[in-house]
Amino acid sequence: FRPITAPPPRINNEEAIRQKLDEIKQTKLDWVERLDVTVVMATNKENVEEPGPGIGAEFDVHNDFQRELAFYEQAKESVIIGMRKLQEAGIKTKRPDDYFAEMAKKDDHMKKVREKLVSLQRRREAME
Amino acid sequence: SKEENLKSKGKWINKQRVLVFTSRGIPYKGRHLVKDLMNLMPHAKTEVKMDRKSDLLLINEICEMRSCNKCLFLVGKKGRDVYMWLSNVPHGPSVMFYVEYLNMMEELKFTGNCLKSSRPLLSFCQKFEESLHMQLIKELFIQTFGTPQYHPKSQPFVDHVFTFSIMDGKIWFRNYQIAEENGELVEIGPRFTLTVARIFSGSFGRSVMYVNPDYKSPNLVRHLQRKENSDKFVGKKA
Repeated sequence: FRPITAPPPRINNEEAIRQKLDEIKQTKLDWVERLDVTVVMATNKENVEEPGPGIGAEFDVHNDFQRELAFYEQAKESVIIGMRKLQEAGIKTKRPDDYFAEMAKKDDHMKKVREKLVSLQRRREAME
Repeated sequence: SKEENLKSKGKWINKQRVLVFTSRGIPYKGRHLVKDLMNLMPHAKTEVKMDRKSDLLLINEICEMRSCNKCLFLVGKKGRDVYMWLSNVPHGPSVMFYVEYLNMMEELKFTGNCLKSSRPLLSFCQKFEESLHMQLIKELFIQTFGTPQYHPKSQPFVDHVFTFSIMDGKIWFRNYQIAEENGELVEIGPRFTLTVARIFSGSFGRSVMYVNPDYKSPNLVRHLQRKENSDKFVGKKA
């Protein structure tokens, strides 16, 4: 029985991890089956020529704006790379306008979202 | 019909099936996470809540019965802490995470939307390549969260992106709608962070391959906090 404040055991069995990784890797699958994109995050880039607003040397993970912007930038870069790869593979990325299918968020939910946006905007205008 | 045409072009070869379910006594946020994941993952199935006292190894049998080769199991403890198991069934590996900062898709601050069963792009930051255990976790994420091409329940478009980033010792998850193909995004939700606790070689057990030295269980964090407070009190009295 280990007391709660005892330091955790140091275990990092790299040999076993490498073996497991080789075991589960899907080496025979094309990229289009997996759709993964790996990019360097703006906060970790050295000598960034044009750091985005809020992403500088003193990056703070507890600053919501800076943090979310970093995620957004990562996603954005991945989308640009991913879309190009999908188009090269001849896969349709854009949904035709006349293609209807069930959405993740239902119409009544999206209506609430729009109402909130409108009310926020109205409040902002009232402030000015 | 048009839908049929688009759907029946290719062969479904990457057969991933994920069982997403929870233990009893899960906080409401964990329950919502299951709901959101079921909503976003057409290749997922769900199961009734599992009794807290049952052996975790039982999950392997449940997965086999439901013909699932991946399992995402959420455990609730003390009515407030949420842990996530991610496992490759039946031969492992499996990872136990501590889940924090949960925001659900239902929250009105997320204004994006996507098709219910479209395939997501999976975005990873370069930090996943820096250590072996993170490479292993990345591989598990790709196989679990990615929707296989030509999955019978999936839509043949790519209109959203799951983002996994490592920051502050945690893995941060975000889901964005691809509004424009030049990279204009709108967040859909949910949001959560995962802190790796342990990695096991088997599915829900067997030998421990990795222990995160920086992981502090929420119990320990609360214990230290209480101790600090009581020390303050003792100091004041003296």
